[in-house]
Amino acid sequence: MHISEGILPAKWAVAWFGAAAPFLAKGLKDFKRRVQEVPTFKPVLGLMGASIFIISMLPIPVPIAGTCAHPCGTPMAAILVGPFLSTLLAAVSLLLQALFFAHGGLTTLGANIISEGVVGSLVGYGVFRLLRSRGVSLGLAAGLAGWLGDLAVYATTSAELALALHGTRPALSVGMAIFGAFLPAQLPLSVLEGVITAGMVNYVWKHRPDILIQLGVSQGKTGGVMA
Amino acid sequence: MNRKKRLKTPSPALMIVLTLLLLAMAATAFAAGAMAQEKPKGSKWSGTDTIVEKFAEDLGGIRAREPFINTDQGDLLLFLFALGGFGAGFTSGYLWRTLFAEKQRPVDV
Repeated sequence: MHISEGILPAKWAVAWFGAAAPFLAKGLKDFKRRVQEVPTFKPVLGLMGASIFIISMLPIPVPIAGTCAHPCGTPMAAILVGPFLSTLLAAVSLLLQALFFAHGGLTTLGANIISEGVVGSLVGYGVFRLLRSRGVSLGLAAGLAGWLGDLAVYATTSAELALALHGTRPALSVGMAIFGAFLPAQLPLSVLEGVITAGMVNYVWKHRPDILIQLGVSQGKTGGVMA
Repeated sequence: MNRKKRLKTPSPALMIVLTLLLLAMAATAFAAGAMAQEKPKGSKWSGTDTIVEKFAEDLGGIRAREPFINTDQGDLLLFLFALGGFGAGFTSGYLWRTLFAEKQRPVDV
């Protein structure tokens, strides 16, 4: 989903930076607060940061599509550290990828932060919280959050490209065409993202439930979501 | 000894949510597939980022610029990917060990 350097016109590039800024500011604010509140927060944050960096740069071959694509990692991070800190982690990861790995671009960084960071995190976090509040099990809620969060990232990238490049054609039609081009590779990978997300959350719950309780992901034995 | 576990019946609300999600997904896939007749084809095993670039070229005549720091030269990018993978993998492993493998000591208050 990385939009490469120079693809977006200047006004759109600036607009996406402007849209991403408040989310990054909230992420920084949350970082200072939560590091003081939660003893295990720093290692969890570091683990999520490294995971997003690896996962979002890993080209996985999808035989049925004949192309390579990558999951995002942000829905998983959002469930564990919150959507704004997950956005911040995605921004750092995207910056490194743009600078040193010819992945994405500096002018398109704002748009990439919005799609992978903001939308991936908010959709993943929102779906997880909604399903947990309806009594859905931890693993299933995390899995669906990962699946839908991943698809939302690619839908957003399609929308960003369509808005900037549709020209005289309807933006919706162009957006759907781009999303349609992503889907053959991304549908299977979104399922993989769901499996990874569910696996991670379930693993933490099984081995260190205290972390999920400290982070506010779960209330305890019942696994309920904190209000 | 009855070792059979009773299977829980999923709640109607969950079934409705899952059914709606699957229907929405199927509809989106169908609609997007139908509207993607002009999708540009990349080379075998090209990344989806290449698809984005081809769309940009086809739609707006815009070609991706060279990165500000162009590491896509010879084996340099391969080296950086290996280095990045090693660094992130090492960090993940170290923190994983800190969180899950080391014996947890009671926190002094």
